[in-house]
Amino acid sequence: MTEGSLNLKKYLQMIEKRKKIVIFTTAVFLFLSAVCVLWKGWPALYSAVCSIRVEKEISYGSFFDRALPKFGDSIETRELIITGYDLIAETAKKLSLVPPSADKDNPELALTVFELRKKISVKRKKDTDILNITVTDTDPGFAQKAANMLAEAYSSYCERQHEKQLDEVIKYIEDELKTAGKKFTDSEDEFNQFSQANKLLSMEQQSGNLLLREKEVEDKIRDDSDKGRLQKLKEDLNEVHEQINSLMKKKFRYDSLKRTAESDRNMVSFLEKKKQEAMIRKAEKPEGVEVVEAAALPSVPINRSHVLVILITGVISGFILGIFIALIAGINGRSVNIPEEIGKITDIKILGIIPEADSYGTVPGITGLKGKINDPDAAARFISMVSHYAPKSLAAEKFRQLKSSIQLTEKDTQAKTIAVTSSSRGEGKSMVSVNLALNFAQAGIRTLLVGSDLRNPVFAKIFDLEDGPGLTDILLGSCPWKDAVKTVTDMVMGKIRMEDVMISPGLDSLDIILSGTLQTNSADLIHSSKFRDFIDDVKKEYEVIIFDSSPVLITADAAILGRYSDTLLLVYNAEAASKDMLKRAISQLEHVGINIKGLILNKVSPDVVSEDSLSDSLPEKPDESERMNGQKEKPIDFAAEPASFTLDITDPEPAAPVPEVKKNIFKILIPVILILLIVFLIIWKKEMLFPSKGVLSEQVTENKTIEKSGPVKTEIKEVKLKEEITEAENTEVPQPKPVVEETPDNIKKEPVNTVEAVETTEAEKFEYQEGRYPYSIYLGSFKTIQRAQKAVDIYSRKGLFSYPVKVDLKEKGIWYRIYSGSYPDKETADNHLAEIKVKDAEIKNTVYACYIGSFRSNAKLRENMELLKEKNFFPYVAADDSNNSYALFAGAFLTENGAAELSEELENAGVLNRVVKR
Amino acid sequence: MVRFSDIIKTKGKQDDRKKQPEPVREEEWFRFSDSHLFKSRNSDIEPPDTEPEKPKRKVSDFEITGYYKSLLKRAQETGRAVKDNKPVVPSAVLADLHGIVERDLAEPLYEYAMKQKPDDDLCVHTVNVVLTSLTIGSGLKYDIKMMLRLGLAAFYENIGTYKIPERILASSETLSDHEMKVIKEHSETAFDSLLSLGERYRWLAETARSIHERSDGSGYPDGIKGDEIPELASVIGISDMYCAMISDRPYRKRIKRTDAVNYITGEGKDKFPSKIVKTFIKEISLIPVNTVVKLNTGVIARVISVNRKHPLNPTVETVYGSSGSKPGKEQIDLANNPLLYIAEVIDDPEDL
Repeated sequence: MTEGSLNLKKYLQMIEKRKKIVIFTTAVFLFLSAVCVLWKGWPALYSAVCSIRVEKEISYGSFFDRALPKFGDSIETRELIITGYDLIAETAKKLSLVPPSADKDNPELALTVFELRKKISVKRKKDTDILNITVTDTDPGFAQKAANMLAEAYSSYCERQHEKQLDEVIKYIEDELKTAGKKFTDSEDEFNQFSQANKLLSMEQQSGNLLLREKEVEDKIRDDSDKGRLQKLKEDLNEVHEQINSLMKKKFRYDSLKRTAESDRNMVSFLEKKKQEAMIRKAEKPEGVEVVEAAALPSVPINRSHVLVILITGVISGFILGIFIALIAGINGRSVNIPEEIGKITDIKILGIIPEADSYGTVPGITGLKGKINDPDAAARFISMVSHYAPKSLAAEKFRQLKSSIQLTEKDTQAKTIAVTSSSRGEGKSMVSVNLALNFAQAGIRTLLVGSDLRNPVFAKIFDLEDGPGLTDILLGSCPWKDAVKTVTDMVMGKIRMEDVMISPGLDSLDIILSGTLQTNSADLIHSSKFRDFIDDVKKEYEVIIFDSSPVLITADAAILGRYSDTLLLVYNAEAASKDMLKRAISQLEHVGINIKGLILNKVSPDVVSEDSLSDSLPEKPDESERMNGQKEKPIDFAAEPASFTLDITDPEPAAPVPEVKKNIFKILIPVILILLIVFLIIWKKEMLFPSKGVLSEQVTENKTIEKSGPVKTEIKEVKLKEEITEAENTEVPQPKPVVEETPDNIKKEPVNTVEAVETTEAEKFEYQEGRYPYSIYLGSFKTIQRAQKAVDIYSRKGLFSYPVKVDLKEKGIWYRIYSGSYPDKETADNHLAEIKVKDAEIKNTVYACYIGSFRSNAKLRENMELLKEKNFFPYVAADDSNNSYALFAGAFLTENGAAELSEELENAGVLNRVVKR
Repeated sequence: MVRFSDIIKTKGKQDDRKKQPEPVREEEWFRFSDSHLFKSRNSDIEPPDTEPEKPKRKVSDFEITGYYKSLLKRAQETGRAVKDNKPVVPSAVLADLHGIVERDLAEPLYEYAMKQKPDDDLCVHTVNVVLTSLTIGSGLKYDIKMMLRLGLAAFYENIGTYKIPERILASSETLSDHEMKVIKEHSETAFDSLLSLGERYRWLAETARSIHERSDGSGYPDGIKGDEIPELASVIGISDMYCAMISDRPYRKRIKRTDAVNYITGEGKDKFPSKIVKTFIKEISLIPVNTVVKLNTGVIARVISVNRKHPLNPTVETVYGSSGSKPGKEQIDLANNPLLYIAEVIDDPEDL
């Protein structure tokens, strides 16, 4: 029957038996996920995709390739540009999310852009030059419009950019042309002057003449031998040589001048050609951007599947968890119930194995129980009197077997006294004794059931009998025993109605004596000799007397009853009592010389019971009434029947504890489920709150600070943060421009191939005039940066933006001072000081600061600030409404030395800056 | 051993008495018989421990029918007397009752009465109530005096009803408030009539008056509760209720006997002292006499006598065999046949 191993079938049975658990957990998880979905609202989201094609790089010919940095942007850069502040702001204006008049630094605009940006994503289609602009929104129309607008905005941006760049190129070419033309004129003039001055008409002829003359003179010298003439001839030769040399020199110069003039001419013609090309290109439509596919109106929300996925996930996880729990419960319940294990403890014969309540609780529409299922008492009674109410159930069958085996072992004695006990409470001995008595009665045997468990009377409840005199009263002599006997007549006075009585025969053969009035010394009563007399008396009247005895480990009653009675049965429920308890109970009884006739295993899981080999080993003696019935149908195995309702009350004893194993499972399960729930909720909440609220508030504070800082005039010399910044600021930071020379004759240049970055005219507007904001509010000093940061946090929570400044006070060590704001004069600072109401705050004349740069765009400013914060600097901003820019500073110092130190630190971190008087 | 001649004698005697009413002598007899019988009865009852089933005397059918018819006749006479506003004469009734009680004929008579065709005749009802009450009374182990008192009170319980106009009694409609009042007045009418018998019979008048009182105070005419109601009145009350339920009435059909018992033990439980109810169930039994039942073998049988120790296993008489054949009337004591049991209660016998 039990080989210790469980095969797959058993597992399936286990799960099937506990499918309520599985269904329950599945339902709970489905419910939870549904609640989550509903709670979050989950509006339908639509996404519209607009595809645009871009050229990776636009070539302007080899000349410009060398002369300019790459003109066309990489795809990645384009992605960034599209999601950049300016384009989105433009789109927002076009979508009339903000008034078109809103300027760049309008906080409302910034907010809108921020919100809009979250809805936009740009992705490159793999291995193509196509960018997909995706806009996701609850409104499909909006999504479509926004996607198309953004594409349009980018397209026009590219056009503008294209035009602007070409304009610059043309301008550069023109400038260059001017220079080259002048240079060409100059060199030509020089060449002409030179040839004119030296009368250099024809170099070949002149040199030929000279060489001819030289030959003549040399011939004369060879032919003439006259010394005087020779002398003269030699002089002539020298003269000719000189002439030749001078001509040679002139020739070199001539050639050089000629070459220069030619090269200048070439340059000019080249430039003119290029200029033509650029003009043509300008006239062309830029190839850069082309809308491949405009966004269509999305009709199917994209997140419907999300909802479904969540629900399905909920169901699946619930299902899995349910199966898991069912298996645990099944294995747990099973392992302890294997009769073999009992066999290891004791060699007392197992007389009966009674299935657990569920198995006979699952009887659909049993007669007499109709309409009573809702009454817990009736249900409990049904369980307790299962042999009466469901005589064909597995449990009743097992009780019948038990009865038969007792009858067979006790053939000889006329009157049988049977004591039923257990090791501890809650093992179901009362139920066993009731059902045993019922089975005897059903066989027409006059049976008396005695509630001798005086401490825990249950029969009155099971049979719904009126309290009346009982065993204690009989033993005390206050009532003759016959008056205390309760019969079926008394039962029908209670909740057991006639129709209940008629379900099974034999109830009139069963008489009951209740425990009687509770006495404090009830234990002594069992010990008294009166009890012996009582047993002798009732033996005369009844064929079978069954005593429900108190548990062995609680009182000695069981031992006494065991001595008086012919048969002592020990009920053992593995779920309610440990094996140790069973061992102790047995040894305790055996110690006083009582022979336990048999063990009854109660609440054994039905699969163990149904395959119980015990029934085979028992001498088969089919029940008489069964035979008379002529009913040949097999007893219904209710374990196999689908559960129609559950009854958890197996044992009517009020003190019955929840079976330990089950309790343990619940102990573990409940917290686990709770924890899961809480974790789930936390994750949910965070996800919900974090992205929207957190950033928003941050932005608001920043905007506030900017507004507060007041007017600032800034000057910019070098705006160069790290490369990253420049890249991110693609739209803002000016492209390095070709050299513009105001005095063209100043510099001589080789063919231009390098360009220096010098501030442009545009940047000059940002000039920061020093000494405009010398005052700050000093809030306090801290020894460590952590504490300073904490203070800054606290101030910012109060809506006051502040920044720590590190100062080295030599002997006193390094301190962090916290300042707030920057003010043009003491009065403004005073006013603000009164406003913020910070204790011990004072105004300081912090003249020196490290100036990092000026920005027009709020977004860029913030990006830079974030970047600095990442590097553990504490930048702050002073606004300048005269030229709509913000100056970014770090530190505020009373002395220039302090500022210089910070400047160095910034420099080391790769941040360009300079010390200024703020 | 009771001989037939005894009955004849008693009857003759009573007849004589009636012709020449001598109330004083009556009472003397009453008192005499009372003390006399009490003693003899006492010694009989004394050892209850052994309680062997009361040795079943062989009762001849003739004896039974004789007493039954006599009682019926007395009831009819009383009815006439009441209607004619003549005084009632308890002596003749007492004589009959005495005979019944002394001979332990209450139960066989009750069984006999129950086998009769149900009749909504007032006199039949009166006799039924008397016999049912006496059966319960014997279950309560009343002595002979109490039994006589019980019987007498039961007999006169509803003499007030005779004065209720026929049309009200026969009405199958819902009664008007006034009619209801008239009906409810019958307790007091009875009280007045019986008071006229003299102070000696005051207990009788009072008992009769309280028949319709209920333990929970729901009864009439006084609405008294619990212990205020005389025990005899409760016994008669429960009998009256039961007998009324199992017989047809102009306004409703009779109820199955088992259902009537079920009702009294259930909803009716609070209307009577539980001791009375218990005794009622014990004596009348859960499956009362003349109920037709189906045994587990499929045999249809009629309950002919109840078994107080095994209320679910009475003695039955087969009516139909399991296959529908009609076997000879065979008597089976189910208590002695533990393998046979009643599987189903069918209905009252008249349907068969």
